[in-house]
Order: sequence, then structure tokens, then C-alpha cells
Amino acid sequence: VRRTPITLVGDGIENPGNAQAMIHAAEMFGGECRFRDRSGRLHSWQETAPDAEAVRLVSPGGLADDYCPLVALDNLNGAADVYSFDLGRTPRPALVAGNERMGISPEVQSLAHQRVQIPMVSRRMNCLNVAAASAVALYYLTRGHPAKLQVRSHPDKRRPEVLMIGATEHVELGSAIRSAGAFGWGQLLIEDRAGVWFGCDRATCTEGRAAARRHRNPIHLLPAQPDRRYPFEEACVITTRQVGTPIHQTSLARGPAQVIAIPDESQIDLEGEDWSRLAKSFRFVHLDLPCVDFRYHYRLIATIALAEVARQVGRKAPGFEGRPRRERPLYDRSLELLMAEGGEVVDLEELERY
Amino acid sequence: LSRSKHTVPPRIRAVRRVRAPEEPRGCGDPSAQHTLAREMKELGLVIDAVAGTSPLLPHPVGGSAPCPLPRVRVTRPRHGYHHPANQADITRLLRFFGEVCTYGLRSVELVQDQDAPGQSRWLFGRLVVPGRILIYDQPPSPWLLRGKLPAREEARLRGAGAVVEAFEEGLHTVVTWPDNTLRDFMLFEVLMHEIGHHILQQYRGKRPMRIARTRDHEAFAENFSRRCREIYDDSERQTS
Repeated sequence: VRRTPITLVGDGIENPGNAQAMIHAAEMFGGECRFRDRSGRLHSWQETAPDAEAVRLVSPGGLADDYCPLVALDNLNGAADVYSFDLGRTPRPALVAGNERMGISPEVQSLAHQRVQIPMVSRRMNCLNVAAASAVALYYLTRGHPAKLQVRSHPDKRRPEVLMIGATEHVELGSAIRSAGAFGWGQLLIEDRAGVWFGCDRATCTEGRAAARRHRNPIHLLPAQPDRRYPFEEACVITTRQVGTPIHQTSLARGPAQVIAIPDESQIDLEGEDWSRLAKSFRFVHLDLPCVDFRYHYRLIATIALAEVARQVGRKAPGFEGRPRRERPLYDRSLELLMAEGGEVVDLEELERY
Repeated sequence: LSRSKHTVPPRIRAVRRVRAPEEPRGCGDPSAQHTLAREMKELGLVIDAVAGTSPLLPHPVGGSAPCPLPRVRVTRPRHGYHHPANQADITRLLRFFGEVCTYGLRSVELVQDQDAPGQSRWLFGRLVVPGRILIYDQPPSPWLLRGKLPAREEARLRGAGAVVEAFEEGLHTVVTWPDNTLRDFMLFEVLMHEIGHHILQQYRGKRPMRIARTRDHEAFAENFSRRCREIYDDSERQTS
């Protein structure tokens, strides 16, 4: 694991909930989080959440002076794949994540030394929650071991099922569902123990669906019951607190016979659960984070886990989109010319004059 | 024998589709009129059965109104060049030959040729399948060409009315176009030739792929343009 922490910078973040989650994401990886206040929203944050943690500001000039390299996290042209991006050993790196709707401002883009993006699979959902995206980028940049996005001819045959268990906050669960949709899952099993998704009140339902971007996220959500048994071959339980196989050493792309269980560890005691109900065999898969003690956000952990699974599942090779387009026939009407030859015929008398 | 909707001869189909491109395939089909007339007769209604005279029967497609033409786009020629056949000439010719030629034709464009020094051929026109004809700008007469023309090309130009002279033992060729011969050459030998290619593509299959050998394609287009010129000349003689 990389020793130098990476500073996370939020450029024009609008939602105070996202700002708090970004602060906690930065703490999770041993760094700090700063914000650039583009439109004076800092006061409104403090009014809406007076108990929230203090927000530290930074100006574009300060960004350029204090941090190098400055890495922009956005799906910009020429952005590198975050999985295989090697930051190197630099003293004061910073990762800039942009506004939820508008992305990184052109001013900060011009300051950035590098650009990275998280590869998306879905065509309708091409972005993650900003805090979740920051956590994924911090995870791969902090690891220090570039991983490769797999290229397969049929990646969907390698995609495992995902079971989300016991999320206690509807926005956290919604953001995790959004991430699953963006990474290409078509269906998801939800074990809603806290009742924050199925059958909740109208306000909770609306906020949760908005966080999941259900208006353009076509993912199919299947309710799962805690007492039900499943016929999967293998279950991998993602954990940050239990000892288990490191996630990058585990094969998480074994197809529909495998289920990836992502429990909310802030509420669920992994030791007390009967995991054998999920599959014939199960194992704990450890998500290695630099800090042991951190504020748990379900969306951050779930999105990091889903990103790693999506990396292993891979995508089709570029240019494998089908048959090349047939060239349209052309019929020309033209005049064929016999070009004059390169030299001229010279008589001996002419030659003597030279 | 009854004729199915799918075996309407191209001459009839082209007129109907050019004049009413948005109508369904069965529009104007006589069988629909017969069905309607039979049902009304069973109800005891007597109607004037001449199509177009009764409000219950659809108007015959077309009528005396001029048929819609494909879009004719004109681009300014290069400096020192011109378009021998202008927009009015092309419109007049398309109207003369009618819907059979313009069915499926999307545009006729008078465009600039790309300057390509050292190219071994002189481009007059091009059909881009489906249905886009490009007519390139040409220098004014006389044309000074490097080298000697092949005999076949020379005969083609002479047949179109040009005067072809070789100078300096075939190192240069001068092609002179008297009166309106260059305009007529562009209209018949180029535009109608490309329309011949288009007709072969349009009536044999609408997919943008080659439907005949290039040799057969060229032969059809050549015959088509020659026949068009004969028909046009006959018409002009009768008019005069």
C-alpha cells in the first residue's frame, strides 16, 4: 500500500451529504479532503448540517502551488484508465473530483497534470456518485499496484450475481445500486433488513430512487429474504473487518454460479450470520484499506467492491463492435488520360547545341 | 391476370412513389377502390365510379401537377472553372425524363473537384449510392491536356461534338467545345450516364451495394445515356 496519502479535492461540490462522504472517503485512505467553493454554497452547508465536520477550502492557486501531481478524475478526452494508472512515488499528490452535474471546471482542468477515469459499462448510466467515484479512484491510486482491466470476448458470461445485505440508509443503498447499474449489472438481489427500500414511506422512497438514478438506471432489483437458501456454487462475502482472502487475489468473475455478498458492516455481525445459506461454499474476501478505523459508508465500500469485480469481469475489446461498415459503391464518369512520359526525345543536332 | 402490389411495373410505381412518397404501399391500388365500390353497392348507394370525380374515391396519384424533383445543390466553382450545365439545365432535363429517372434520386450536386496534381484521369461526375450524383466543375473551352488521349476516349469526345487535336507528336492534346456542346456533354454523357447507374441500382435493390459487375453497370449506363439523348433530340426536332 502506498505510504504517501493522497489529498482529495472536491471542485464545486453542491450536496453537503456528498461532501461529508468525500471527507470520510479521504480519511479512509489516510488523506485529507479539501473543497473549492465555486458558488458560495459553504454557508448553506453549515446551515443545513451544523453538526457536520468543518470544511477546508482551497483556491486554484493553492492547488497549483501545494500539490503535484494534480490528477483530475473525470471522463474527459484522453483520460487514462484508473485501474492501470500508476501515480508513482510523488510527495504531495492530489485527486480532484468535480461537481455532481458539471464535472471539473475548465480552470482546474487546465491545472491538472494527469487525467483518469473509471471505465463504465452501461450506456445509459455513465457516472457514479461523486463520493463513491472518489473512493474507487483513491483505492486504486493508493494501492500502488496497477491492475489491468480484463478484455474478454463474452464478459457477461463472467459476471457474478450481487447481493446487497442490510443497508441501513436509503441514500447509501441507492448510490450503491447506481454504481451497480453503471458497472453493467442488469439485476441485483437486495436483502432489505432495515426496510429502507421495499415498502418504505414516500419521502424515503423518493430520495432512495433519486440516489439510484432509477429514471435512467434499468437495473432489475429482486427482493431477497434473510431466511431463504440459495443454490449458488460459491459466495464471496466482502468485508473490511474480517480476515479473509485479499480481494485482488480472489477470482470474482466466475459467472452466474457465484454470488458476491456485500453486507453493511456497520450493522451486521459477520460472525453471527449463516453464510452457508447462500451457496455450497463461502469465503470472506477482505477489502484492504490503509486505515482500520474509519467512518463506514455503505456506498463507498460497495462501489469499491463492485469496481474490482467489474475490472475482473472486463469488457469487450475495442473495435469488436460488429462487422465493419461496407463501403458504398461509387460510379465515376471520367476521362482517361495518357500522361506524357518523364523525358523528352532529343536529336543529336540538338544535343550538340548544349 | 390480376397484378399484385409487389409486381407493379417500375414506370407506374415510380410515378406513384415520387409524387406521394409518404403514402403506404397500397395507396392508389385499384383493388381498394373496387372493394369500396362493392361495399357501397351492397348498401344500395350509387356513386360515380370515375376516380377523382367522387369525394369517396381517392384522387389518382399525380395529375397534371409537375412532379417533385430531387434537390439540386450548386457550389461555387473553383477560380477559372465553371459549371457548363447550370441548375436550370439540370431541372429542365429531369422534368423532361420524369419520375422514372428521379425515383430514389436524393440530390444532384454541382461541386468542385479536388485538385489532385498528377492524377491520371479527369473527373466529370460521380454517383454515390444511394441516389447522390455529383457533377464536377470544368475549365472553359479549349482544354489543353498533357499527353495523348486513348482512341476510345477521343471517339467519345468527338461523338459529343468536341474537336480534338493532337500537338507536338502527341505530347499535348487540345479539346475544343463549340457552342453548347460542352453543356450537352455534361447533361447527357455525365448526368444521364450517372442516372443510368442509379436506375440500375434503384430498381434492382435498394441496399447500398454493387448489384452488377462494373462492366455491365457501365454498359447499361452508356446505353441508357445514348438512348436518352436520342429521345431528347427527337423531341427537340418535333418541337421545332
